[in-house]
Amino acid sequence: MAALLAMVSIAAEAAPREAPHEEAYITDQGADDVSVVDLGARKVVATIPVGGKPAGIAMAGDGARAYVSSTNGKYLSAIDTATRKVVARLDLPDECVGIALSRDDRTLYAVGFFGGRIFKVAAATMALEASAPVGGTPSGIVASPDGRTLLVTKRNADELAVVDAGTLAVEATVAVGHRPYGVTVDGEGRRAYTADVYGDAVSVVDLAARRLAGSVKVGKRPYVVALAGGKGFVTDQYAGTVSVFDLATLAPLGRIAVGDYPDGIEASLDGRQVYAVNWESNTLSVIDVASQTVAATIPVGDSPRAFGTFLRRVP
Amino acid sequence: MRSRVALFLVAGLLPAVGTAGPAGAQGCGPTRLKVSDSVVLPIPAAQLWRIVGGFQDMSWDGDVVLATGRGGDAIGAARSLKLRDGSVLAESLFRYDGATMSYATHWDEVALDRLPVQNAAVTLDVAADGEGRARLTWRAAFYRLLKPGETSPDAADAEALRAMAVYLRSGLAGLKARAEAVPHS
Repeated sequence: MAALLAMVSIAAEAAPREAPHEEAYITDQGADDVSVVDLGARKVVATIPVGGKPAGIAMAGDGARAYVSSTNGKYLSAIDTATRKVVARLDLPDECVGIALSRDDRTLYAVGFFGGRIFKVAAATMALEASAPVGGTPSGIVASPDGRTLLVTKRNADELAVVDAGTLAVEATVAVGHRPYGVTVDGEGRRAYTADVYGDAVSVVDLAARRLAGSVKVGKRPYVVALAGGKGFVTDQYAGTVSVFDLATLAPLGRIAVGDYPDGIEASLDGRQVYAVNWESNTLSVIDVASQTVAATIPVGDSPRAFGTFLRRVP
Repeated sequence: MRSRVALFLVAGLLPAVGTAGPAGAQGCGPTRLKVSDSVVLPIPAAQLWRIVGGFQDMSWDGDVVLATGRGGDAIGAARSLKLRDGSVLAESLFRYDGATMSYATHWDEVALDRLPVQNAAVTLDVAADGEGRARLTWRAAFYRLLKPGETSPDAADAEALRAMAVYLRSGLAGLKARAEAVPHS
């Protein structure tokens, strides 16, 4: 018992004393809403009804708006984060999971799971501007840091597509592991990381060469990768863990037990924490990047997905 | 093999709604589903685990009439269950922990007419629930079966959820009946 108390006390001291004031917007797919979590107070401070089984999320760089995809409802919603209300909605002809914003926050992209199209939306007005086929059950999407391309996982094709962000033309496809789902790009646009659900691995793609640069074995059924402190953090759905690996050497650095069926994961803006939602446990795990330990577990709504970018700095 | 036929029949039709071939039937969907059920028995947790903790022994499950398998309790072990209605459920073991009294399986083959789900994983947990009592919790995570011409995702989700809930409930009901019929040691 004394040892347990000592561990608890160390964990408490390891938590940052003055965490930057950030919020997490968590899509609760089962509850049909978005939980707003104050990450300083570590509790839900608001719940925003969205409906339609929300899954994907893209947070504006300035934090003013959050965009959410509702799968069963086949629509996208724009949430004003100041008023915490849905301010616009766009119906689409398909169920979208992955959505992403351009780096200037002006264009929203969504990929249709069944029809295989990529949709280009004016974020301010939520008007559909264009769509084009990408195919292969597209699941995850992210914009490259230079804003020129979009990276899309083609789940059933075992490929990562490189798509022109302006024309939506597929410029290249890169063979990755089995059933890639989430995709994450580093800050320099040098490498992309796909979580290969059936491969139990992460594929590392060299974006300049547009080819596979390496692969890392992780826990069973990985979904999404977050990057922080020179490490990759991967949600392992079936294992109930977050696998950690070294971004330079791709060597495994251990696994962190979190909740059941961890799903969306993202690094905090200062890179000191990683936040992962646990879909089955209905919780958000706060992971300390340096010590690779769970610093806190926060209850959220039913069946959280938070698939995409869900963190914002509060002005 | 009726279930296997059903699996491929549906998968073959799936391109009509724009998704993949045979693998699609065991793929994932855009909306995740989960359902859990539990039963509390007046026996210690260790005793309950002895009854339900063997991956190859499903004699406690009221819905199972025959179980065959291989691999014991090792990761990757397989079992095939013949259910009371004659349908077959084939599962593989992907997590097993006797210390925490928990194991988890993936459904590899399922009678889709009875259980319209895909890519299901089911976790069985035993834990103490007060003095001399123990709770068995059964948790399923899955997706609805994607059918051609699906008009309402919500209705299809509801059907999948209902079918899974009935499956869990009937299995646990068998355990409860058996425990109540047998004097406790």
